Amino acid sequence: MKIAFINGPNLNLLGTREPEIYGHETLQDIAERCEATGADLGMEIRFRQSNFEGQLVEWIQEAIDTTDAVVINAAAYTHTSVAIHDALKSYHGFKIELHISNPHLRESFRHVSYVSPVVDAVVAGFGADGYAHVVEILPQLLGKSRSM
Amino acid sequence: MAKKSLLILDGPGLANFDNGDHTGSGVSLDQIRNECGTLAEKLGVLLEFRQSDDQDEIVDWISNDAEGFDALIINPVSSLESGTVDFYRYRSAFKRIAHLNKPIVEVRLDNIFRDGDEHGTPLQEVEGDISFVSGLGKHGYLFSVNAVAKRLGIVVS
Repeated sequence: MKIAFINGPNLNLLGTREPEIYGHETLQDIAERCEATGADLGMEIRFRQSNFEGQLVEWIQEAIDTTDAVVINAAAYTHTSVAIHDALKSYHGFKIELHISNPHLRESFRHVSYVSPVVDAVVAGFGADGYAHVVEILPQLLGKSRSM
Repeated sequence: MAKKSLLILDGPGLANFDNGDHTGSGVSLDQIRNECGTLAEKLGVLLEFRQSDDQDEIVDWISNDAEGFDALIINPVSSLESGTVDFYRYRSAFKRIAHLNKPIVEVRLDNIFRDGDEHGTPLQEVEGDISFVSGLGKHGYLFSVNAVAKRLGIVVS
């Protein structure tokens, strides 16, 4: 099973940027945790981050027909990007929108998501642990459950 | 140490449903409860499930009983915010639990944001440890129980 984790702007600053909201763990820590947990469960995880909207679109396109699921934390582009919305529409594997904090509890400009209407599921507010929790549940979601 | 306890509330219409989740297989509330129970046993946490078709009763449970538990997991169903319930009372009930620093998870079976399929909005304007999972079907409950247990410091060997 191949899974693409795609992370958007400012997530490279994780661990230093507003740690009271986003926590102290770095994105590299999270990536390593996901890859290790994924490997234990027989998943190949490709974990990437970019601050550029077009790069995120290209990674979504690249995931078409090459991955079983996409987990996307589009960060601030969540609330602005029609391009990411359109790219996700062309992806037919399982799609999860993931956020470290819960955008619905924050400023009203974060209440609108261009990602949510075109994904299968939304997971928000579980902190950095949300990534690992998503990895753990993916085998069951993708119908290839194994005893853990 | 006493076992951690989780209150799981289900709103109107969830007593008797056969929801086609995204895997295409129907799932009943009994099934969800059974599977959560198995997971809870593995995690060493206690679960209490309650369901009501009466929205006011759900708000009463949050107001009066939820603080006796270590965390609250709730599937309010769309009608809670659009229905007859006093929304201010509903929100302030959540605020009390959130102020006690207890984790709250809002679970929705379907993706409530999907195009042409909007089922209301998630909880807003409450500060606290409030997370949200929508569209994972029955797995949303299992995800929540697991995530809350970890949040409460439970380590599974």
